[in-house]
Amino acid sequence: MHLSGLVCHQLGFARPGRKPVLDMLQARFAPGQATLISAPTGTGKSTLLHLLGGLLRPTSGEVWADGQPVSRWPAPHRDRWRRQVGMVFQHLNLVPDLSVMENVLLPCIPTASSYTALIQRAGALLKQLDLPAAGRESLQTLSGGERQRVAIVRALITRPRFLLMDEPTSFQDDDGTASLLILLAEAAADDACVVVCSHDVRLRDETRLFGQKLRLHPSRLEPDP
Amino acid sequence: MTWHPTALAIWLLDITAWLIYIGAAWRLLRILPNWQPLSLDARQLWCERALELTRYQGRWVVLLLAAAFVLLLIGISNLWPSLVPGAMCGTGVLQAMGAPGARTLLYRALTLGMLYIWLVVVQIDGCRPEGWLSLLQARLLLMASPLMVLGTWSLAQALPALTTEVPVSCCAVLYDQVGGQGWVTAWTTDLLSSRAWFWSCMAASGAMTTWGGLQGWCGRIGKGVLAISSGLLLLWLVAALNGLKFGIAPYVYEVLGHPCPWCFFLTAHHAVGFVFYGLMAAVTCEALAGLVAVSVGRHYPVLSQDARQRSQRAGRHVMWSSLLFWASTAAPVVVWRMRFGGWID
Amino acid sequence: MTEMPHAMSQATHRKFWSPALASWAARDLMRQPAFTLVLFVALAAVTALAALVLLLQQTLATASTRLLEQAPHVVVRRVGAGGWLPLDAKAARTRAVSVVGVLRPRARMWGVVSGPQGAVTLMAVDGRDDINLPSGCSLPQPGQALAGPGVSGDERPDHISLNGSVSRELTVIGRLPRSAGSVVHDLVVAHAEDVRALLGLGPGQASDLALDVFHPDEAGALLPELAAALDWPVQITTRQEQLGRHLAHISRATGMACLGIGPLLLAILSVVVAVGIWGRRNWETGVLRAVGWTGADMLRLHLYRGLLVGLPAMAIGTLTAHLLLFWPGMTWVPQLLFGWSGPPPGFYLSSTGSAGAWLLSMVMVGVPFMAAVFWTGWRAAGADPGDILEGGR
Repeated sequence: MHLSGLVCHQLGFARPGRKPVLDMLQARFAPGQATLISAPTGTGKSTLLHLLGGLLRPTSGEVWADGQPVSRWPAPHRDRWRRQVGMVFQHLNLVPDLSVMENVLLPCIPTASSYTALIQRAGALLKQLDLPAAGRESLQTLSGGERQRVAIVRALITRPRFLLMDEPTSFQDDDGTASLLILLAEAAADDACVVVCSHDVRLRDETRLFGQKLRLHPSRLEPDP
Repeated sequence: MTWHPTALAIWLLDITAWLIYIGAAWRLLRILPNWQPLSLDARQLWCERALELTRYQGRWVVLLLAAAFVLLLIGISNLWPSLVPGAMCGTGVLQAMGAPGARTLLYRALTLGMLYIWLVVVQIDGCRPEGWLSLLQARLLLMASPLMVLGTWSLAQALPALTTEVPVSCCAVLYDQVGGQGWVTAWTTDLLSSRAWFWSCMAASGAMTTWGGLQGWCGRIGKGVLAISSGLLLLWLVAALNGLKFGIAPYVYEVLGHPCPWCFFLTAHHAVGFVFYGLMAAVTCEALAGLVAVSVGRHYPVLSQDARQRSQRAGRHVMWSSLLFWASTAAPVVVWRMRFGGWID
Repeated sequence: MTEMPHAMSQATHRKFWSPALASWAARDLMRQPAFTLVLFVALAAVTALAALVLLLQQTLATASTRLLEQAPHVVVRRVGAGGWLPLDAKAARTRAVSVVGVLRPRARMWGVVSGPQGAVTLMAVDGRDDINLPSGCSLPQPGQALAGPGVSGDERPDHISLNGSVSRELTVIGRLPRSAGSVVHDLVVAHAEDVRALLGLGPGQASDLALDVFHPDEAGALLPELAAALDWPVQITTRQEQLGRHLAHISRATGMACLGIGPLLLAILSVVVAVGIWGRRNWETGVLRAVGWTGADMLRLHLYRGLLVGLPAMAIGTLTAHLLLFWPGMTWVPQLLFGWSGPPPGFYLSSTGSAGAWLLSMVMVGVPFMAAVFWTGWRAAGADPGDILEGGR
């Protein structure tokens, strides 16, 4: 399977003793394209993103990334591959006692040789999302929307090859959503593979950015009209 | 039982290594029957995580055992002779320790050799995500356990001898050997003169350097490479060990007829033993790494490219180490020749 | 893997040292400042104790070796069923010199008697002895003595009363300098007549016979001949044996002391492991793993944290031990350890000994500490991010 981008091949996931959350899912998320996946709450959007990002391993089928069956790889190799993934979690997963900048730089720490360039990039991204560029503020002083934007910057800081976002606009006003859409467009233009899971109507109504809009059912992903 | 602080430090390193190793071995014993690379269930996921942990644990064990081995060498060669009546270097200490002393060195060197092979396999396996060598590395790490047991057991037998009141005759051991009672040494000294051993050592080191360079350059992984590498390594080891004892020793000790392998470590002789034997260990380990890489490349064609790269790296390391060995062993002879204008023979 | 256009995503560092990760480890430590400080102080204290013991071993071994280098090659003592006996000085000298290889046999008068503040070593000199006295000191005449720095009179500082077979009061005509070494600390040098009376030796008798041999390393070979040449049962000790016995005794005592440090070290390790488990911040580990940290990165973070606390703590501990033992004027440690009443004699330490003691104290404290750090680290390294994050905070 030598397709670039992310490919779900008969993907399934079930927790022990429960009925499958996802079953026999087929989909392709091409690089340079943004995909919006919408579904009612509890359908398995977050699980799908975690499977695509290598945080969970499918119980059947595979996830292929740039022609490699990454979901079948042993855990240490998947961990290393995950450095190419930028992820915004539904619950944000920011570290509360760290500053904004520290949270943003977290993904870069093990591989960074110098902080200078990273801090410049982080500052530019923070500014783009209407946050103070220095990032010295404690996370506890920020509003929910601001925290979500910090999580978005953290996902973008490494210029990831695969950008996966779970409800990234749930706490955003219209301006914040517009800024995010610009960043997503830039990432897609940079040949990243962008997958957004959301049931936000503002995103569903967006016509220019998302080249592919899908609706998730437990056993299939079908085009969302 | 000796209470010398160095002995205590060695025990401490050993015990810590054992504790970590037991943790790793326990995991490996659970991994081996449950390892199913095609399975996607939680048990296989646990096995993969656990195998990753054993790799970290194994590396720590190598580090701790290597440190214990170096401390043991320092103790035998420089610290403990003062505790044994009549001992002037490691030969006297080993004489007081009896057979367990030599055995503990042998078992520990073999353990480290085995663990180094394991490290090479882990390195090659880490190049590919498919984990072709996962089970092999698990078995190799477990296979080190008998040698580790023997090493620790013989150390426990050897160390109490340091409290002996019975004097040893340190140099008599060597003179007996030179006098014909030790058949190996008698054979080697009869066969070649000290100058001949020196030149054999130089020639063998030159050959090793050339072979290492060739492997580093082309990195072939054929059957012939295995045979030539093994044969050359054995020949070089014989030539280098005897070259040190009979060819180089007179120039380092500045006396004739004192083929003591332990006096090299004494500070009176600038502890050059650590350089000589350290480089020998480096050449041997990397030659072994080359052999393992070639063997893996032949048995797992899918890993041949990574094995070839490791083999080339091993070749380069062998080349530099044997070149350094060649230069460092030649140095005392050249210095003597320049100072006095003649050879010791 | 196909070509990745994104520079950041290509990074697959395998190097152990990463400055960014090290600075993050320092920042991480500052998030638990109280624990870090307690751990630092505890580690420094245990290292100081271990280093103190090991440095003391090295310095005593060096002192013993220096001392015995000036000692006679062989000492012959007459023994009987009840133990040590005085020997006939002239006969012993004559018989010993008849053994080929024996040089300069000399009968010595010395022993231990009660001084003003405890036992002192009494040694005899007379005009015939070839000894080097410190400058400014003359040979004591009958009723006179030279005293070591640890010997002082009860009421009158220039008089000491000694009790042996008889009691004598001697006038102190000079002090043996502290720089002469620890051996002179409790030494009293007096005239042969006084010593003979105090030790209860008869005329012509000596405590033992000291002699040199032609080849000191092979002194052991002469012992059977020497024993056979003397008329009475003797105990013969070579310098080498004496040194070996001293060093073995010192190393045994050091080893026991090191074992005594074990429980302290175990207490610290328990704290490290306990705090490592309680403060493991499972959820945070999951976040780090989810944003791209590998198991190796987690392990490196733990090791860096351990090194950042451990290395300075151990360096300061070792330095403290050095200062406690060797800082001029620092007297309470030898007083506490040896019960010396006055200022201690100077300690000497070779650079090799110092490096060895430093290395061993690092091994003894550092290895178990880093193993405990590693133990807490590999749990984080082996954690599955999906499981942790799905499990919630």
